[in-house]
Amino acid sequence: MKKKSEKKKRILRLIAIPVAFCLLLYLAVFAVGYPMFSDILSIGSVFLSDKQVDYSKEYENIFVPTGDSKDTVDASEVEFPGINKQFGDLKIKGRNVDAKLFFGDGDIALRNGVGVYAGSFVPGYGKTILVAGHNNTYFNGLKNVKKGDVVTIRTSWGNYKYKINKTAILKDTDKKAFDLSADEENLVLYTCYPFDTLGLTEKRFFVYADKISGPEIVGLYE
Amino acid sequence: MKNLFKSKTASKVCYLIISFILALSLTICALSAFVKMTVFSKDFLTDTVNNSNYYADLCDEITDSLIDLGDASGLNKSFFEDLVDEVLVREGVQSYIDSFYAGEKLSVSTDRFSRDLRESIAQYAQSRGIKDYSGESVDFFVKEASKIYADNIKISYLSSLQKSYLNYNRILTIVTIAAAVVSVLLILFLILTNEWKHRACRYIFYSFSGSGLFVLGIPAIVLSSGLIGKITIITRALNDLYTTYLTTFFTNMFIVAAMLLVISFVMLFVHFKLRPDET
Amino acid sequence: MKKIIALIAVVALAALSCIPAFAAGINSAEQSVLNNMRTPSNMNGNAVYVPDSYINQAEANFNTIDMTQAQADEINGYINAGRSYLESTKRSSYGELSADEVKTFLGYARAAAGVLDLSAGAGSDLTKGVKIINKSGDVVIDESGNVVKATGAGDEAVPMTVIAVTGTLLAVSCAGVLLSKRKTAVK
Repeated sequence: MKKKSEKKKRILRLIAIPVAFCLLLYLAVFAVGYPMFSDILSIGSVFLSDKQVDYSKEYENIFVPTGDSKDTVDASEVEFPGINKQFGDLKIKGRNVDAKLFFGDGDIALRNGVGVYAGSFVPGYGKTILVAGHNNTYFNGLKNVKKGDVVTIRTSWGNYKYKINKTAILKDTDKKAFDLSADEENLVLYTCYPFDTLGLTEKRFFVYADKISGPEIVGLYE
Repeated sequence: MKNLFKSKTASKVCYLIISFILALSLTICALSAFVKMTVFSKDFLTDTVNNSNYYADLCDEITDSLIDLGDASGLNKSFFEDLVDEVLVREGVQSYIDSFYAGEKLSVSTDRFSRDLRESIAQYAQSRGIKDYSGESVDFFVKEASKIYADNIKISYLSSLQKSYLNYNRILTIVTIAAAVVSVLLILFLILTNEWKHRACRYIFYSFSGSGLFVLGIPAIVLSSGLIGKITIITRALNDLYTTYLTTFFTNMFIVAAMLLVISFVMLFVHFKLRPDET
Repeated sequence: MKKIIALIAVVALAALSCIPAFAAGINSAEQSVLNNMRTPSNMNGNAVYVPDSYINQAEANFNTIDMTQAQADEINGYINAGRSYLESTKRSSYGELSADEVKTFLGYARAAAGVLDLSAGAGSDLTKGVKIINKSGDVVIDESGNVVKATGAGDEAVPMTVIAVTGTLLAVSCAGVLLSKRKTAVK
C-alpha cells in the first residue's frame, strides 16, 4: 500500500516538475521579454485583423438608378458610399465619356470607371466633387469637351447636371487646381495629359463645371 | 562522489534549482540554434519563397500595376501581357535576398527590365504607326514602370531589418555556444555530484522535458490561435510569403521540441534502468 | 507637424468608421470632432492646420455612422492629448522630433486604433500605400496609389501620414530609424 502510494507520488513528480519548469520558463520569458518586445507586439497588433484582406478585384455596386427629379433629398434617404463602391455613373453626351462612378480614386475605382476623391464630396453635398480617371480609358473622351458641355451624374438619390465652364492644363502637384474647402457645389474632372500619346507627364487636364440641376442633400447637420 | 549536501531536502531543492537552470540554458541553446538555422539562414527564406506561390503572384501584381500605369500612358492591357519575365523576377528577388544576408547594400537592378520595356514600346509604336515614342514622356513612363518593378522585387521591411540582422547574427552564435557550454557543464555537475546516477538522470529528464514542453507550447499556441492568418498585408504575394514563412517557422519548431522530448525520454529510460530494484 | 496632426486625425477618422450605426448626417457629437480637427495647433508659434482633405474624409465617414457624445469625447481626448504633447515638445517640425517623442506621440494614435479594432494593411515597403481596414474588413482608407492622382502625394496627405503611422511605428521599434518620407510613384 505504502509502495503503491510512493509509486504514485514518483509518477506525479515525473509529470508535475517538467510542467512546473515549463510554466516557470514562460513566466521568465514574459517577465524579461515583455518590456523588450511590448512595442513590437503593439505595433504588430495594428497589422492583425479578424477579417481576411480581400484580394479580389471585385467591387460592390450600390447604384440604383432613380427617375426622381426632386429639388431636395433628405440625408437619411442617402446611402453614402464607402471606398471602392460604385454609387453612380458619369456621362458627357457626344464626347464619348460614359463611366461607372466610384467613391475613392484607388486602383479598383480607376480600372473599372472613374473615382471621386475621398477627400472631396458626393453630388448634392454642396461642396467640391473631385473626380479622377485614366486618359487612356474612361476619360479619353475629355479631350473633346468644350465649354458649355453638360456632365450628367446619376446616383441612387438623384440625377445631377453640371455645365462645363472651363478646362485647364496644370501640373499634378498644383494645389490651386481645385479647392476642397469650397462651400458651393462644383465638379472637377481630371486626367493625365496629353491624350493619345505614349508615356507619362506631370501634367493633368482639368475640367471645371458648375451645378445646373439635381437635388440638394438636406438635413446633413444637426 | 558522495552527495554534496548533507540535508536531503536542501539537496533536493538545490538540484531542482540547478535542473531548472539547465532547462533554461537548454531552451536558450535550442531556440537560438533554431533561430540561427531559420530566420538567420538565407536558405530558409529562399526555400520559403520557392515553396509559396510568390513568384507567380508577384508577376501578376507587377503586371496589374503596370496595366494601371499603362491606362494613363496610352498603352493597352495587351501590351503588358508577356512583359514581366518570371525568370527575371526570380533572379531579382534572389539577388535581393543574397545581398541582405551578405550585409551588402540592398538594391534592385532595373537595367534589363527598362531595356526590355523600351524595346517593347518601340515595337508597339511601330506596329501602330506611332512616330513619337522616344521622348521625355516615354522616359518618364519607363522610370515609373521601373520603380514599380523595383518596389515589388524588394521584400518588404528587409531593408529596415538588415542592421539588426547583422548585429544579432553575431550575438546569436555566441549565445548558442555559451548556452551549450553551460548546459554541458550543468549536466556534468548533476552527474558527478550525485552519488545515485539514476537521480542525476531524473533531474536531467526534468530539464529536457521542461524545455521540450516550453518549446512545444510556442508553435502550438501560435498555430492554434490562427494568429498567422490574421496578418493583413495588402498584396497577395507578400501575404502568402509571410504566412508561409511564419507557418513553416513554427511548424519546424515542433521538431526542436520533439528532439528535446526524445532526449528527455531517453534520460527517463536510463533513470529507470539504473534505479535499484525495490525489494 | 501638419503631418502629425493629420496623422491623429486620420487614425481618428478611420477609427470612427468602426462605430456602428447608419444615421446619415452630422450630429453634434460628430460636429465636435470636426471642429476639433479644424482647430490649429501651436507649434513653436506656428498655427498648424489639418488639411481640408482629412476633414472632408472625416465628414464623409461621419455620414455613415452615428457617433455618441461619449465616443466623440474619447476621440477628442486622443486628438487633444496628441496636440498637447506635440506643443509641449517645443519642436518646430516633425523632423526635429526625437525617436522617443515620435514613439510617445504615436502612442496616442495607436491607442485610438487599438480601441476601435483597426488594422493597417501594409504594402511593399509602404511605398504602395497603406489601407486601413476596419473589423468588418471594409477598407476605410485606401491609398494604394495610382499614377493619375493629383491628390495624396508628397504633401500632408493621407498616404504620407498613414504610412508614417505604420512605417514609423515599425521602424522605430525595429531599427530606430524614422520614416519621414514616402517614395511615391504617384504623379
